[in-house]
Amino acid sequence: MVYNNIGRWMLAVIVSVAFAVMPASAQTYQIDPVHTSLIFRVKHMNTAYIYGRFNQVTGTIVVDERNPARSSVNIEVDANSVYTANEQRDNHLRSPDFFNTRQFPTIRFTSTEVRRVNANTLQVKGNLTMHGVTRPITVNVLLTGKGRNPQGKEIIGFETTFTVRRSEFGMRYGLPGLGDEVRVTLSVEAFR
Amino acid sequence: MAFLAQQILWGALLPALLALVVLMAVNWRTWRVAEVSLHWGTPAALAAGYLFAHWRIIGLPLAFPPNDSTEWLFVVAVATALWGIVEQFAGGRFLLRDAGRLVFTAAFAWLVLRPLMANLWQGSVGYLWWGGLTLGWWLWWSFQARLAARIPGLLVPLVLSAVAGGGGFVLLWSNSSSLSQLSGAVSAVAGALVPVLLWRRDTTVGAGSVAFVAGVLGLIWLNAIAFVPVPVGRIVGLAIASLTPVLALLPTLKRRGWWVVVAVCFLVTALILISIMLPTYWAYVASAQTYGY
Repeated sequence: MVYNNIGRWMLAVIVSVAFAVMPASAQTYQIDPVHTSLIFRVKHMNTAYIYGRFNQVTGTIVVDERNPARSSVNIEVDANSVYTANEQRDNHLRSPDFFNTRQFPTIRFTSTEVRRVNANTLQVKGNLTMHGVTRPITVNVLLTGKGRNPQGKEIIGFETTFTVRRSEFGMRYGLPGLGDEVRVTLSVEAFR
Repeated sequence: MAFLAQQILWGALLPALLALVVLMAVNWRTWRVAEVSLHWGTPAALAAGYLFAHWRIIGLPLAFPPNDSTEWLFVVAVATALWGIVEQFAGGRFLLRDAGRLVFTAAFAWLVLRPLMANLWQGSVGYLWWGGLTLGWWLWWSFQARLAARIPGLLVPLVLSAVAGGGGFVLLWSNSSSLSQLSGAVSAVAGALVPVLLWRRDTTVGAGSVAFVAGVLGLIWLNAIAFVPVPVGRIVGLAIASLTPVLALLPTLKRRGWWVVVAVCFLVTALILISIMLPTYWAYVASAQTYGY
């Protein structure tokens, strides 16, 4: 009887320790807008690249290291937060010539498939909705690091660079003087 | 060719030329027989020029119903060309035309503003904007229709062309280049009516032509208020500037020569336009840094 109780007690301890030590299969991270950068570049008058960014990026990332197929990404970008260091150009980008942010205030990405390419690279397929048009895109995402932030929270970082044609999202104003191809770089820090 | 020159060529000169050629073709009879108003095919001629410009400036709509608010202008151009023919044949039945116009403006304002009513203008605010903008558009269009019926000659299209052109600059300096160019396209095709009516002082522009210009220009202004956004006061100012042909009905002016009437009305229009354009320009150049598109 005594041995039986000790056995149960030991089993409970072992199970508790095991759960505490092993990472959960899928972990949900919140995107940290302060340490996340979404920058883009587009060619002006077929001459030079203009760089801009979106200052408000939010969303969640579900990471399952043992089974990457169960991972997922949901990102929302406030289109009004576009910033190119020129107030008039920012207002122009918000206007119906480009993002038409009054009608389409949010840019969204929702993953549909995640698979591991190698130890630090994932291939993410998903739907990008911009300017009211949804199109599938595929991007390679690099795991840039893991650690803890000064508040002690677990953090994880990813980066990806991809190219979209703005005309495919119905933003055709100024073509071809203002480039069609927009190169986008997203560097995300997320915490949990 | 320089970027600006290309925009003017494809967005204004060629559309005006296209509209003029079709106008000449459908109105050949106007030169031979003294008609009361231009041919019922006139709105189709204006639409041909405008649709060409729309295609060159922002492309054809990607889907139906259109996705973006600006793309609705293509649809409304086709719809007003057809509605213009109805108005032309409805003749003096103003109440019937007013009622149809109210349904037309309410329906298109609803279709274009609906996305804003789902997020930016929720609840009763959305209905107030929709009702107010519909009412303003309808009143302005109905006033134009009455002016066009009573004032023959080139005055009405000349003033409408000037206001659409001046409004184009207001939109340009409000950071909406595509709406600015589309307003310029309306100015160009309305301007094509001027030489047609230059020697026909007793022929009116016709209800159909006014329906096209007021329909498309009205929706450009609605887009400007709702989506750019341009202050309502500036658009109201543009609408007022387009009503100066009413001065031609004043007995004191009526007694003057035809050219004097045109000159006075055009001058007043120009003064009102300048009073709207200058503050818009100053605000544009004063803000932040120079951009220049």
